[in-house]
Amino acid sequence: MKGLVAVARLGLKEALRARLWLAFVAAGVVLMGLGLRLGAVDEGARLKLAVVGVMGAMGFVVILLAILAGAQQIRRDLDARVAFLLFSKPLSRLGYLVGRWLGVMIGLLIGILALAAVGTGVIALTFDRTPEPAAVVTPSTWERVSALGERTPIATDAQRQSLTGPVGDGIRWTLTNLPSASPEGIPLLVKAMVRGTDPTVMVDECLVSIDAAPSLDASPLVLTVDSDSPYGGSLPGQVLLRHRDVNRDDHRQDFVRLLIPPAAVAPDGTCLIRLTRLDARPLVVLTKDTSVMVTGDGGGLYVNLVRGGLVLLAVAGLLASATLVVAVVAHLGVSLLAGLTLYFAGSLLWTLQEALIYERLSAPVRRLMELALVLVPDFDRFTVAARLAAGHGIPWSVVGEAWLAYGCYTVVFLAVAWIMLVRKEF
Amino acid sequence: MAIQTPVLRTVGLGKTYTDFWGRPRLAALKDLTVEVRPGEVFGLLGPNGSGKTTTIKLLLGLLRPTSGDAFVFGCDPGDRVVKQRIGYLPEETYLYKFLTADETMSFFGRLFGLDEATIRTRSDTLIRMVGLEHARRRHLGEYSKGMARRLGLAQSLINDPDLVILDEPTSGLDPIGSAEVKDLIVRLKQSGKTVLLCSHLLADVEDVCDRIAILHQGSLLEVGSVDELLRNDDRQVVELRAPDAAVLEAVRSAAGDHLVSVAPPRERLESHFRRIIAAAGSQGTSRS
Ligand SMILES: Nc1ncnc2c1ncn2[C@@H]1O[C@H](COP(=O)(O)OP(=O)(O)OP(=O)(O)O)[C@@H](O)[C@H]1O
Ligand SMILES: [Mg+2]
Repeated sequence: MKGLVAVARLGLKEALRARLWLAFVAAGVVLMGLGLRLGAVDEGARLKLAVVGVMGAMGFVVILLAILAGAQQIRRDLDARVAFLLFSKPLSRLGYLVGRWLGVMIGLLIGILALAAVGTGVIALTFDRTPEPAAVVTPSTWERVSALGERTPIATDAQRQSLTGPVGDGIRWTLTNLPSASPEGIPLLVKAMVRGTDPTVMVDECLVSIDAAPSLDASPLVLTVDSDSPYGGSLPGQVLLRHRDVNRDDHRQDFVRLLIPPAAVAPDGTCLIRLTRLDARPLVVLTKDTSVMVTGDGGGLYVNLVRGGLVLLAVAGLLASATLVVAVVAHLGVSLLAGLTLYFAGSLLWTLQEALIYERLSAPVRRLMELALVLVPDFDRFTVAARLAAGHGIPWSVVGEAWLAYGCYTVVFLAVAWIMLVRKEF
Repeated sequence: MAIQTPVLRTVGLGKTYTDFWGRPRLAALKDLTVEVRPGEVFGLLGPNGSGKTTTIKLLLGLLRPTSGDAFVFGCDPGDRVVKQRIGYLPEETYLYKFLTADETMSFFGRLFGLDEATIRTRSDTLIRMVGLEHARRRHLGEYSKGMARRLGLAQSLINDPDLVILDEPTSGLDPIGSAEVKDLIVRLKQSGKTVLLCSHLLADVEDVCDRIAILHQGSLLEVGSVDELLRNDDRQVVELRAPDAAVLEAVRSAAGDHLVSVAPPRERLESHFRRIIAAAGSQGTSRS
């Protein structure tokens, strides 16, 4: 254990002296340049770009350094034969490996904290405000409700539902674990895609009503549009939905804002939200996760950038451990190539998914691709940059999920590297 | 005296290096059986490539034997408890170039789990002992070969080891340094440590070792105490203090046919070198 700490500290010192931190400085400088020169249509879009820029720069540096640093240090120890001396001391090979890995991780963590601070600072200076990412609660289940109150379950893999039939049809979402309500209520965001049923007639608005209830037996309370909502109309008890595409997800511009009164939320934080179509002409398309959400305080930008960075760090940890495995047996160049290859493979899994759906493939190829989908870690699973740009905060639960998902791979890779190092003679 | 377990013991120890596919390439060590007892300075001699370093690596658990067994303090060489008691100086100095001497010492100290206070006092003494106080805050990348060698020696003693393994400790050192290493080995022996020494400098080995083993192409040629191995019972040396011509003549005639030669002894180059450097050093200090 002592040896592990000593090796981790050594790695940090080396990164410092080898000026690896300059990569972070470079990323910070690029960010500042970007912040000053950002050109986009409106301020909201520029702010989005800036947030994506910070996360992107962080991801780039963190991933590259994770692949580079550990492999380079292990390779040097083996090539320059410092390993003789190390392993003649009471240092276990597992302690050595984990120490090397930990050294890289701690170094990256410090870089993430610094870069998040620089990013927040640049954004605050450029825009005179920082976006406040919101803590978002999305529905856990949904179902269709007819005008007569009949409930129809929705297939679990269905992503979208359209309301087309008679007026009065609707969707009911169940939200759980809502934050405890303040007296004025919990803000609810709603958006939908609105289309005309007749392609020759331009329609992009639909009148709906939205109500909330703590349970199925309780009588629902009709919600009214908040005064600071970007759209939605002022008809009491009715909401005028405007068309918003799926990828338009700015909390401040793209959603109707309503307030859920405390009486509509059960003590355990459950709330049923029902949307009923009141207009026969338009077709309303709704999704389970993005049409209805409750937002709360998600912490400041800095905290969310750091949590996003921690998700990236989980990916970096996986890549670092995978590169270590190769570095124990192969040259530095091969190790770096292996790390980068794994990263690109794990970032392009969606192409495999598309190919599986749309291409006519022979059975063995199909089998192989399916295997790859199961085995290769999916680095696109937590789209932190997109989430932050959309105004969603990154909760700790996502950080935990990421470390759990990628940590399994990391542990396996470290174990394999350990076995190979133990078998190695010097 | 109770029978002590040998510090090092090898029984039929052999190592054959293999290639990537596991095919045998070279038998670097064959059937080595030796013992090193506590408190002994043991010399391992042999020409280049005779298997000395291979033997040491087997004793440190860095290589796995292909035949036979090695025991250090009666245990398996890979045992971490064993490594806690060993100090090792590799044949070349492999240290981190980005660390200073002080940092190197505390890094290795921490690998032994020593606390900071112990590390500080020990590294102070050791760095002074190897004569690097003036350079202790410089990065090793700036060190000369001999300076790095000196630091290598210092780090091998940070854990106050019971067994010190020195693989060609004097390579790259100036004569003063070599002599100091020799003095150090004698001091280690006096404080009850066991030393395993590999060296090509036979004079040094002769001066400090109690017993030696000679390897050749991986096989043990000879093992025994230096006195035993070098003693020549056929001859005797007679030394006279300040003899005049008459005394010499008397010795010659008394010896008769047994006489081989009569000549003044030559000072050994090493002691001569040490003497004049010491003289120059004291002059230099008195002048400044
Ligand atoms: N890793 C290795 N792979 C293959 N052969 C090796 C390896 N290391 C050493 N050898 C061979 O083993 C033999 C013994 O080498 P070793 O290093 O033990 O010699 P040595 O006695 O220490 O020599 P020197 O006096 O030059 O240091 C040599 O022939 C060498 O070529
Ligand atoms: Mg050697």
